[in-house]
Parts: sequence; structure tokens; C-alpha cells
Amino acid sequence: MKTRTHIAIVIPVLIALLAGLAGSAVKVDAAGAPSQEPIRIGTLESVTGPPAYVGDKMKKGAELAVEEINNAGGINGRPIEWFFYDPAGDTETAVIQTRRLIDVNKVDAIVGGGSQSGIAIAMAQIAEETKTIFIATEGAREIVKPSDGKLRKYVFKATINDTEIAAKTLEYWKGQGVAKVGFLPDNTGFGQPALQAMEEQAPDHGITLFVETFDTSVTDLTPQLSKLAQEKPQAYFAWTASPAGVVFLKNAKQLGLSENAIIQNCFGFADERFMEQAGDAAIGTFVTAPKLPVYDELADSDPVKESAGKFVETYRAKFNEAPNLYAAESYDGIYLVAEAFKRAGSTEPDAVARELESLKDFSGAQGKFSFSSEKHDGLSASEAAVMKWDGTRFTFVE
Amino acid sequence: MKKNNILIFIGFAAFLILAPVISPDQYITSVFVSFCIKIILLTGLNVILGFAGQMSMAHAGFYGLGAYTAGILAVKLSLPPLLALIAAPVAVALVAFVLGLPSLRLHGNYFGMATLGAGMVLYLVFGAARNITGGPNGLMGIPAFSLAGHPFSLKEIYLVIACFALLGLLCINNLSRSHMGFALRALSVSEDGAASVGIDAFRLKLSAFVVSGVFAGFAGGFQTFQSRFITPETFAFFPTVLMIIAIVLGGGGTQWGPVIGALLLTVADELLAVYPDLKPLILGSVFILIVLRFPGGIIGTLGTYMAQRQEKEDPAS
Amino acid sequence: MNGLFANTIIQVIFAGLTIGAVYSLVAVGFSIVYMGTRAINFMQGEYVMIGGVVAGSAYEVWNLPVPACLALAAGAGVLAGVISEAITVRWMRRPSPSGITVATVGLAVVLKAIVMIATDRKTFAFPPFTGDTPIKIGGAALLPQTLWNLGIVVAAAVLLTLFFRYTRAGVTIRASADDAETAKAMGVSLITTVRQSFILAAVLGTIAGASLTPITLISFNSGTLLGLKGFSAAVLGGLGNMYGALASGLIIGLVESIGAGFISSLYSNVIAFAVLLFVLFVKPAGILAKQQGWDHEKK
Repeated sequence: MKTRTHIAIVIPVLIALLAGLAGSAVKVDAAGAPSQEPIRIGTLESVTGPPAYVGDKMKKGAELAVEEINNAGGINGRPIEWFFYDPAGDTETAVIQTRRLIDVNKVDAIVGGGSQSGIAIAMAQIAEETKTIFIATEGAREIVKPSDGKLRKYVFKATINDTEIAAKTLEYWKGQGVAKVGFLPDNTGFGQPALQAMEEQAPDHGITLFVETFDTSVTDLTPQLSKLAQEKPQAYFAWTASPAGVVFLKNAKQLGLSENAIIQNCFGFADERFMEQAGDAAIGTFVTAPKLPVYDELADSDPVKESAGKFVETYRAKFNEAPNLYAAESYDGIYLVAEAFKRAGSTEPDAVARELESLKDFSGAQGKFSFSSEKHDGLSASEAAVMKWDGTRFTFVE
Repeated sequence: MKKNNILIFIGFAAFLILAPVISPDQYITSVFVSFCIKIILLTGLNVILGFAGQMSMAHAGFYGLGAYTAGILAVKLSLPPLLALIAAPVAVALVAFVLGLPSLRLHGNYFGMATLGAGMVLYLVFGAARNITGGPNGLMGIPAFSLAGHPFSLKEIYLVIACFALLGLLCINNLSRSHMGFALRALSVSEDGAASVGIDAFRLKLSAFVVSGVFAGFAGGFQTFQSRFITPETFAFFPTVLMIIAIVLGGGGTQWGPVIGALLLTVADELLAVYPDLKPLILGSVFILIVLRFPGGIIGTLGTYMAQRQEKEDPAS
Repeated sequence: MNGLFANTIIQVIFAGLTIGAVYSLVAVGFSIVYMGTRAINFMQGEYVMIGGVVAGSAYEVWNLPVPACLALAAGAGVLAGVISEAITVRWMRRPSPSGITVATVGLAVVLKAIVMIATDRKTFAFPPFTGDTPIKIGGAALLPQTLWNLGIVVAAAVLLTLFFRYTRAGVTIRASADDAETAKAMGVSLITTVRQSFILAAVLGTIAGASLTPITLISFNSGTLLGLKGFSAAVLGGLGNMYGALASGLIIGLVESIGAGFISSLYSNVIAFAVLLFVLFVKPAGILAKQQGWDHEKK
């Protein structure tokens, strides 16, 4: 019968804990004693949960950029105060954490949309409603422009559009005389918009698509590949950022598809570790991606050679591992917003959004960014390249 | 003792209603929204897991079924939000009934297995049926909750959810004192024993399962209209594990156990947001410890401790 | 039927057998622990993950030869089995099947978190045991690894038969599975039995993991879904039925692969669980189970 008296103790204690949370946000980066009012930037990346591998790289890229900017004296002398939360791949959590960044941490901008396009889309809604500058590090076009609406004013994207990767790839295939393609997008927010982009553009290049969508947990793609092989395509193209891309490469080799067809991956696989883990099966395969993996082959006159080179060097020095495109996306995101703050001379969102829109040929780790009032996904189409993996590194093809 | 409980309930209700109203932050309100949805969810799970002693592993799937039912009806069929919200628990109750019908007749682990399978099927279908659910991208374009042309703000929808959570707690409190509550508890101790005093175990368990589904359905419907965007990952296997952890931690089969469990999950979410690596580690370790050493959860263990102390102080009673 | 279509059918069967072999080993692991404890060991999928991660990192970090990596994976299995049993059974105040089941769920969460931190979320690769030159059968290509995986299933069936028939430990596990009370009365130490069943299940799991990694990649996150699918196979075969579990794993693998190849690759993950539900509703003792030993009708 006494089991209820103690509730009077437990509940208030726990509630006090909860109430105390509002002010308890831990400052992750307080490097350099702030002599001036800091500029607050928040980042959400999923370093646990299903997208953990991608999220971890994205977190590291952002962390590196914040550190570099603060060591160089901050933005107009104001240091960056950086807040980081992990939504663990869950939209519900991400929504609460976004509100926490805005209401409690009072951030001036958010960089990084939880490492998943679905999460970034949910965050973009909130950012737009609260007039918070948001630079997503995820791929889907719908982040900056809902499919049924107009361009969001405060939301930008530091990643290349799937439409541009698709265009570049189709153009390359056309030059190689490809007419039929076996296309394997994954079923995530990364692969499905790409399917739409490919279906829209392929007819213009005289290319017929045969599509097999797969789940990222797949361990064997030979059923899908041998089904596609019945159509005798001249190219196979997988669109995923998950380890399933390695399964694709291994199975393509197993079935001997590479003997008379192009084997190609999207920019989710501009990652040396994945390619190395595919072993022999990866040699000779193509990847369409921004130029980061082949930056050292760029002309000396190209400013990206220097900006990408600096990123690769400092990233290696700090984390003792090879950087990949995901790390570059968040690294660029931080630098983009820092540049806009610098030019605006304030953190007033309308002014910062205007400055972002006026950025032209800004040279980042992935390539050159140009925004405008009609275009909030800054990486230009010209920054996409087709490259080939030779067993140890990527080489520039076209 | 009863009076005491009423006082606690009134205090808790006042806190739930007032705290977000006083606070100017959207953040605090959304934390409380999440807290109240968890209370509804866990109160439901407690009926089948805590009272009836049946391991249901479909609860996140049911939660998702409620959320997607409401969302799809509102988006694809443009149903008024109130109707879509009410359809959610109806749909879940139906599925619970159909699933419970064969699996609750069986002894032992079968119910756990069937609900595990059902939960996984639901979660995987949310991701696969992209024409109606939006697939892994999530269901977009969910309208704000509105009644008679008045769209609800976050605070307003919160008040609705909070009132519902409180109402749910009251219902369960009444249920646990009712004939059904006693029968359920008898059942969870010994099914044969319960049968020998004339309790129809099957019907009772089935009712408990449907009730728990109704709660999950409402929680899902509310979730849909407060976040206006749902993705399958929220309803995967791990969330079910978290819910079971919360019930065990709070104390299964008690009235306040789910509230404590919901509070713990909410606090853990917010406190550990900056230490992401530690969250599963800490929750999992505490959970194992509770299961191994304190099977009554926080409520039960504290209750036993208090009772023992009382006895020492007052040996005459 | 044209030749290309026939090739696809054969290819789909190969793919189903390759992954089915892994489900078989996982399923038999579930059955063994069930025999010893009447509990469902949710660690089973994580054993697969550990096997892959240990073999993969031994190969990548220390450049060990493949057999040594396999031995290390098996060793990790022994350790994982001992630890799981100690935490979920030995340290429990009042061990009960449902208590053990719930404790293994918690332990799986903790283990996953530890591996995530320790491996920095990396994925691991492991080479095929004997090269990856495919064997051409008609127009279809069979990987040597598929033969290895099937060979391991057959070996497991033979070794488990011998173990349960001729070793003291095996006979004890069987005896306590049939009738724990009598076994106890006859002086069988149930605690030892339970530990042995956990070790056996874990070693089978880690070997499954090491033989899966050559065809895909493994990371801290890979185990849960594999485990749940293996569980579906165990139920299909009738929990506690060893041969049923081994056969059902292959069946689930085949059905899944056929589904992916000819129906929809999107719904292929759903298949295993749909089968689980179907079996529970239609014939709960498992389609391959003998009727004895199951109180599946209401008493």
C-alpha cells in the first residue's frame, strides 16, 4: 500500500532535472577566450544510428572548419561558438534539437541537416519559419525548394545537386555510345530523388533506363543485376552512399559485367575506404562526383586546387585519416556561412541570406560555389567530374 | 493513500499544463510535446506489458501505424485532421485485434514472436510503400491540426496532447482498480491460477492488447500533427527496445511507471544530446542492471524500500 | 524460356543460398540457446557482427592470414558466449526465460554501442576464403565463398549431431531441453549447460559473420537485422529444432532472393518477417517441427 508515497519524491526530482536542461547546453567548442560577442553556429549530424559513418565524417569536417576559422582570428574578430547535437538518424529528435539550437543556444546559423535528406527537409521547415540561416550538408533538392513550393529564403545547400551529377554522367555515357543503362538507386532520400532526376534527363540523351531499386541493408545484388543483364545494358550505375555500393561492385565483377559495360557509382562513393574495401572489384570503375578526389590533377590556375589541397592536408593532420566528400560538405558549409557573416558585417538573417545569394565563384574543398536569388544549391554543374578508380586512387577522366 | 495519489495527480497535471505556457521557448514546448506523447505510448505499452505480462514488441510499429494512418488520410485523402486523428487508433485497434486473435491463444513466447514480426513488417512497409508513405524520405505536406477552420499553434496542440495524456493516466488508474485490472494482474502471475478462478485469459489479454494499441494509435496521430513530417526510422526496432527499457526502468504494472519511464527517456534525450556515444551505453547498462537486480523498476524498488523502512520504524503495524 | 532468364534464375538461387547459409547458422544459434534456457537470445545477431568486425580488423590491422582471422573470430565467439551467459543468466537474481530474453536485448544495445565507439563507426571488409574467381555454371557465376558458406552449414550440421549425440555436454543440453526438472533431479548442473549452449551459439554466430563479410561489408550496425531474420528462420524450423533451423535459414534466404529478383527488391526485407507471421498463425510449432514437445494449444 505504501507504493505511492515515494512518487512524491521521484517525480519532482526528475522534473527538476528536466527543467534544469534549458540552460544546460554544453559548449563544445570554447577555444580562444571570447573577447567579443561570439557568432553562434549549430550543427546537427547523426554520429550514431544508421547514418553514423556519414555523420561522423560530417561532424569532423565542421569541427575542423570551426577550429581553423577561430585560430585565424574568427569572423571579423568574433570567434565562432559551436554547438553540436546528434539526432541519431531520427527526425523527431532532430526537430527538438533544431528548436533547442534556435531557442536555447540562440544560434545565428545552422550548418548540417542530420546526415539524412529526410531530416534536413524537416529542419528546413523550422529554419524558414524562424528565419534562421540553414546550410544543409545533405543532397536532396527538396531541402532548399519543396517540390510544390517556392525557394526557401533562409535555406541553402553546400552539396552538389543530383540533377547535375546525373547530367554529367549521362553526357559522359552519350560520348561513349551508351544507349541502355541498368540503374540501381537505393530506397533512401539519397537514391530516390536521383531516380527522378535520371528519369527526367535520360530521354534527352537518347538513353533508356532499366531500374532496380534496392534497400541499403542488401547483402547481395546479383538477383537485381542479372535481371538487368537480360536487357544487355552498356552501363550499370548504382546510386547509394551505403556499403551496399561495395556489394554492387563485387557482384558486377562476379557476373563479369565489367567486361563489356561501364560500372559506375555516384558521388556517395567518392570515398577511398569504400573503394579499397571493394578490392579488385573496384579497379576500373567510374565515379561521378565533385572534383575533390582528383584536386591535385586540376590546373594550377584553378583556385580549387589550393582550397581542396588545404582541406585534405589539414584534415589528415587533425584526424589522421583520409578525408572524404562528406567531410568536405560540412567543412564548406561552415566556410560559406562564415564568409556571408563576414561580408554582411552582422548576423541579421536577411542580410546574411542576401550575402550568401551574392557569393560567386567561392572556392571550397569540393569546388567552386555560386549562389543567386534563384539558386540556393551553390556547387556549380561545372564542378562535377567523371573519375576512375585505379586501385589506389581516383584519376580524372572528364 | 488514495488522497495522496489524487494530490500527486493534480500537482503533476498543473505542472504539465503550466510549464510550457509560462515558458517563451518553442523548444521547451516541443520537449513537453515529446514527453506527453511518450507518456501516452508507454501508458499503452504498460497495459499489455506491465499489467498483462505479455511482451509486445510491436509497439513502435503500432505507433507508426497510427502516425501514418493519420498522415496518409490527411495528405492523400484530404480528410479533416480531427477525423484523421480519430481514424489512427481505430486502425491500430483493428490490427491489434487481428494480430492478437491467433497469437494470444498460444502459450509462452509466441505472442512476443508474433508482435516482433508484426512490428518489423510495419516498419519495413513504411519504408517500402513509397507511393503512399513517401518511403524513407518521409511523408510530407501534412497540414497543421485544425478545428472549425482554426489552425492550432504548437502550444495549442500541446495542450490537447497533455490533456489527453492526463486523461489516459486517469483511465488506466481506474482500470487498475477495476475487476479487469485485478484479473490482469492475477493473469500475469499465473495463467492457470487465473483460469481456475474463472478468468477468461484469452479475452482479457486480447482486450488489454487492443487497449494498448488504441493508446499507440493516438500517440501516432498526435505525433503526425505536431511534427507534420514523419519518417520510418522513428518506428524501427530500436524505439521498441527503448520503450520496453523505459517501462522496465519506470516499473511495469504501476500507474506512475510509464510517467517515470517517459521522463527518463526525455531527460536522457536532452542531457545526452551532446554526448551521443554515451546514450545507448548508459541506457543499456542501467537497463541490464534493473532487469538483473531490481525487477520492480524504480517505482517497485523504491516502494519495497519504503515499506521496509516503515516496518522498521513501526514494528507494531 | 530464354537462356538469359534461366541464368537469372540460377543466379538468384546462388544468391539465396549464400545469405541463407548465414541465416541458418544464426537460426541454429537461437535454437541452441532456446534449448538450454527457453529464452530468446537477442545477442545472436550481434555475434554475427562481432565475427565480421573481429575477422575484418584482424585482417586489416595485423595483416593476419585468413585462417588465423577465422580462429580469432571463433575465439571472440567463445568470449562473447561466456560474457552473455554471465551477464544475462548468472548475475540475474531470479533467472526466468522472459528475464533472460529481456536482459539479452539490453546487452545487445550495450555491445553495439561499445563496438561503435571502438571501431569509430568504420565498415570492415574480409577477403573470400579462397579467392573470388567465379565458377561459371552455364551463364551464371558461382562464387567460391557460396560453396564455403554452404560447406560450413553442412559441417555445422554434422558436428552438432555428433556433439548432441556423443558428448556429455551435448546430451546434457538435450536432456535439460526435454525436461529441465528431471535433468536437475538427476544431478545435471543446469548452469554449466546453459553456459555451454551460449558459447556454442556465439561461436556459430561469429563464424557466420566471418563468412558473410567477404560478400558484403560489416559494421557495428549490421547485426540486428540479420539476427531478426535468423530468428524468423528459427521459428520457421520450430524453435529448438536444430535441423529445422538449418534448413529454414536456407529457405528464408532463397525466398528472399527470389522475391528480390522477381517480385520487388524493395519488399525483400519484409519477406522474412511475413514468413514468421504466417508460420505463427498457421503452424506455430514450425513447418519442419515434429509435434512433440510443444504445448502450442491452450491448456
